[in-house]
Amino acid sequence: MDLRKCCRYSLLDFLLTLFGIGAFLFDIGTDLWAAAEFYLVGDYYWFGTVLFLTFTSSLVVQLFSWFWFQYDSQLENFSEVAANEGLFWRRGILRLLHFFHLGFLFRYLTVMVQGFLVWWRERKESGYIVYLTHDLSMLRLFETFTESTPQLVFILYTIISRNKVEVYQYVSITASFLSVAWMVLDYHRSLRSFLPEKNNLGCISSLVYFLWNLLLITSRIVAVAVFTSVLPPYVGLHFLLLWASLLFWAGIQKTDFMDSPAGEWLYRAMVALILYFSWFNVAKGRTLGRSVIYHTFIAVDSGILLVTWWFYRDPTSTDAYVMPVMVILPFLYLMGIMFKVLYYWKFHPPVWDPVTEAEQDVIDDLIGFRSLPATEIPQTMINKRMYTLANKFFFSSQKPQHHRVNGSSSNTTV
Amino acid sequence: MPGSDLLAVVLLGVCLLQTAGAQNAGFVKSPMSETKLTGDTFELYCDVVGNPTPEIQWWYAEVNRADSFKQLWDGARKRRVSMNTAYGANGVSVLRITRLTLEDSGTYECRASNDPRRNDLRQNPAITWIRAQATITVLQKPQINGTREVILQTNDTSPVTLQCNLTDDNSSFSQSYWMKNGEEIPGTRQNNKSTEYKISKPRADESGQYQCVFSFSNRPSANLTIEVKAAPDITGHKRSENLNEGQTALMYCKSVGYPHPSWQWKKLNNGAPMEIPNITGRCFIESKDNYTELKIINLQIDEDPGVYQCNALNSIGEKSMTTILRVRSHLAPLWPFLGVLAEIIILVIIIVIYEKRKKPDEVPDDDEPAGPMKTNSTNNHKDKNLRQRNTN
Repeated sequence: MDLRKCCRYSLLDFLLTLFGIGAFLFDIGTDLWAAAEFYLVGDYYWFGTVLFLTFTSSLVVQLFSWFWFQYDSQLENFSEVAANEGLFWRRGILRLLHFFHLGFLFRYLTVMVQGFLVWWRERKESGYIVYLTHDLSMLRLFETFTESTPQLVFILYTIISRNKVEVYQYVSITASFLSVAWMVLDYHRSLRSFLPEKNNLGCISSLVYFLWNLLLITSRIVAVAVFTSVLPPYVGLHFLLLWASLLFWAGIQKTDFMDSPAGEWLYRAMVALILYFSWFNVAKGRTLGRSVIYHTFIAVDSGILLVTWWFYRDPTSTDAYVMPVMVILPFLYLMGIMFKVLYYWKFHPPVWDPVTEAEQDVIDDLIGFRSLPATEIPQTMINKRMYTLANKFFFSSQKPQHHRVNGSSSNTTV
Repeated sequence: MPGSDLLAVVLLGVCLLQTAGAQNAGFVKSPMSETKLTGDTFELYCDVVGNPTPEIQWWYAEVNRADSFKQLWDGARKRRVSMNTAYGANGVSVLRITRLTLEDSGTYECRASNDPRRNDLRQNPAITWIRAQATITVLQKPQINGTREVILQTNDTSPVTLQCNLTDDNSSFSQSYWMKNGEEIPGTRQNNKSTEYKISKPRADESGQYQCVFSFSNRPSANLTIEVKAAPDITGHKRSENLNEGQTALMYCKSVGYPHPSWQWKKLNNGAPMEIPNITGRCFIESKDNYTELKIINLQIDEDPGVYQCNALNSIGEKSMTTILRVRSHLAPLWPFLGVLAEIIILVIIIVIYEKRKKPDEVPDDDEPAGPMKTNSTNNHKDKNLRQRNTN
């Protein structure tokens, strides 16, 4: 495996990071603006809800960012690399930044600055940037699920209860749905960037991956939103019950992602939250069974939510769209499942199997990959977290036969 | 004699005290002169202070007859004169004359006195009474001809025109404009003695009290009130209301239209309206002009759900709208959560079975790469072996 290839940071990546910063700031801005609007109109509960969601999501993201900085600082050669690459690293300042919820933005800015330096000085090896981008991609995924998805549910709830929708809200909701699915796709591509080129998602594979996530997440969010519209205070209870059982599941899968127990449980809590909305694979081994259990459970749960809405809704205001929703939502879910099956059957890029590679070099490279001699470290720095996850997905989920030409659906991974 | 001297001193002292405590009457507020039109009403105020509290009278003298004042009394001039006087710390009096005629012009005088000798005929009133005057000029109200009353029909879409014509050869006319319900309609000012206002779309909210106003340079403006009536139209109401037991239901109806309707709330029983049974006293109705509210507190699931109808009735017509009230029982959220609990229990059981069943096949792969930096070759071989073991 060519390390240098995996760690290239191109102009495109730089532009995407720029766009990411803009999108993130725009998101925060619109959230605060929406909260202010609610306050001015007098909807104090809704104002409080929006503020609460924004604040907790920011808090969780900053916590993760801080934990990761802690872990990185405990790595052996980190300070040398940091000094080498001219990274800004002063513990006290970082702690202050994170306290004021600026840690996430700081990571973005660091990536941008480093990326600019790479482009300007035309450095080929930019391992550290890719390292940071991986972290960023995961943080963005977390941020999406702690903030965007509950916001979406909330916006849909306000639309349903007011029974009118503005044009700009159509646009904003569509953009939100697309961005959630896009984030999941982006995270998956980030995972795959460890692998050789041919194992990365091609265009069509990406499209199919994007589509099934979009369909599943959309149907799930709409189901939660309509339930909220009939029993607003109870959606919190529903979330807590499901989240607790999903947390139990994450715990029983014995995830091992963070370096400290506190961090690990935070990670499991995060995973449980993501699972409430969308599938997220965190453990090694055959995921087909788990996937089946999960999707059946979510289907049953969404069904209960929809049926509750059907019985407790207000006929006069909802009659216009109840039948389309009741019919289309299960249909979307089924389509999502079908696309997922299609993806794993036809479009899943081959999982790289290092053991079957004929060249000995590759195996050596593999060994080299996992035990970089100290001299190599300053040049390429691999993000342990991404690497661990990628390792779990792609290296340990193998069938008895070692030959794998094109991934078959029985070897499902994320 | 010392006794009579003492008595004289005491009497003198008492007299002095009396005169020292007394205060002459004075005007706090005196009546002000005005110019009015025939048919109008005017009021004059008079506020006097003094100790003891002065008495107030109103006197009137015709124009150019300032020497012959006549006293006014409450109910004079065929009950067009009314006088309200109150004696407290101050004396306050209000003189009000309605339906003015040209003969009401003249000088009006407010007289006050607290002199104990004021009603003595041997005294000159000019000394014992203080006086304040006001001149009231009554001008002929200009004759305005115009439409008096218009009734807007809902099914009639042709425009309606209101007309006003000023027949007055007085040259002090300056401007004319229209007002609706006491507020000026913008863009209607013009210098014509004959003015029109067109209501292009006769709807219920175009009804109201319209006035064409003609203003003059040297006298008060004159207007004609035109009543534009229409049947009420209910513009705002809740089509349905879903609440839990014990909450308060608030159903309202808003209407447009003049004259203001009288409201009635009914409950529909199999399609037939009937009175709202208020046995338990939980229903409260509040109506005001164009708005009415029906409030039911402490909703009960067996009595209150149903269809409620608000009815607006005025002299032209009536309109009603219905609101459906639904009451959810306290146990409503129970059923879905029973389902959720059931599914969660099943999920947990399946998870436990599934994860525990997989365990004997798996070797716990605890020595995941701690980091790219620290492993050495021997570890890698072990890892590789472990990895291969995992495949079974």
